[in-house]
Amino acid sequence: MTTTQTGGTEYDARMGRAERLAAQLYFATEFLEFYKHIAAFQKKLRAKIAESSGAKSCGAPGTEFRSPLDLTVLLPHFRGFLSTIEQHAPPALGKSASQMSLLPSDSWVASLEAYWELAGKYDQQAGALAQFLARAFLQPYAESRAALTPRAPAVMTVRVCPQCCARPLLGVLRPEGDGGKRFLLCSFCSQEWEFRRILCPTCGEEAEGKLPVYVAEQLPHIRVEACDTCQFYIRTVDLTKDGHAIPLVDDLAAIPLSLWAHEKGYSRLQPNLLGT
Amino acid sequence: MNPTRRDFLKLTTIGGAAAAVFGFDLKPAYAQLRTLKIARASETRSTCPYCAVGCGTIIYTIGDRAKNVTAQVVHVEGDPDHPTNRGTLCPKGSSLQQEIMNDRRLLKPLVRRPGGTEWQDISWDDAISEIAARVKKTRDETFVEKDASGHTVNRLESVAWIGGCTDTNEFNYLVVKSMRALGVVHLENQARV
Repeated sequence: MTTTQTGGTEYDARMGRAERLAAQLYFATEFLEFYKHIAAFQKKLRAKIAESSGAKSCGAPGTEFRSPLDLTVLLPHFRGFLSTIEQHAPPALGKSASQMSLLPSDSWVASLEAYWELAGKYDQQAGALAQFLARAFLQPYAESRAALTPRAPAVMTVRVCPQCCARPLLGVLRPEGDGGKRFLLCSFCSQEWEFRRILCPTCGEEAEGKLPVYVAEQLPHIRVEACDTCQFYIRTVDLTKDGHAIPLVDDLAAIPLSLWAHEKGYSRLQPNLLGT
Repeated sequence: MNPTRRDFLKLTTIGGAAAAVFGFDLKPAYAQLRTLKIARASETRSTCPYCAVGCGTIIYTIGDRAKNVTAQVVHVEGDPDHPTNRGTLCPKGSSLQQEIMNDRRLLKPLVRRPGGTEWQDISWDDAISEIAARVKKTRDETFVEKDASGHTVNRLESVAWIGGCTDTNEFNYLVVKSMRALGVVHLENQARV
């Protein structure tokens, strides 16, 4: 079994980054400490999924991305997931996990399947809390599917994930030449795809004067890339400024930027796992 | 799993701060928010003027677009989406910011007299008059109306013009018009991009 299948190194990197940022950024400590527990659970679940996909055809290459969930692999771990959340989450979320744990497994299946079908497409409307449990639980499964699904070469700039059709969570600037090439990171399967630098991923605006980039002195590698036409923004992690950043984790830490953007009247295209 | 109407209203009210619904304490983040120094930058696509390769660049300008504020170029980088250079720039292109913002830029004409070692100030009027007089004198003395075979050529071989790579198209147009009118044949600019 390869590390691509288990995703072990990836989750270790996320947890390590969360720990370092939690020590540096006092305002994000509570979020990141909680995230570490989620990531630790996700790491174990991803390994179980990989074991199972080795034995069965689940998630095998060529499988359609949103084909039905393999509940025989997932369901046995859901109660453990809920108790992890109950134990470490802030009160409202803990309560939500506790209520969910009292429901019969039919309800779990219904909520997981509903999320699996629609994830990343209508999240803004559904709200971050409502989707949190299914989103955090199914993230390793989606990432595992994405890692095994063959990708066609990109021929055009698309605004939704070419793998699973979910909307982007983040932009990522990766070094290319002497500049930074922009990729979008999928909010559902965490895969990246190429995207043009000066183009709004929400409405397609291309006018340079309407696409301001805001950067805070205190977080120089995180950019708020706004669009004055549609009033949405996407957060972008600039790896040319900080090569140690892990986009998924650094995004969770940039809470003041979410508050700032909200005060300025910008909405986020897709909230992250913790609703910021 | 579906949010109740009450949940939904709460979510829409707090918008970007949905984390509060989770029960996270947002006070430290709000405290940090008040100390943030945020700059607005614009990214503008442009083309490096220096050579015929024509590399794509992205120019970062800082400024809040207020009418009484002059935007400042703070950074120039290669355009990763440009098919020619895919984000790369040569050392000269990488220093483009200094071509735009440079406190060593000359703001007035200077003259160094024959045999002199120092540059001296000269007014625009004096500089233009002196150049015109020298060009006229040289042209009068060396203008070639007919070549050795008697063909009319009307050329001025003793004056040459060389233009810089950041001269604009409009400037180069005027240079060509005026130099050709004088009969200058040794004429080069860098209108290649």
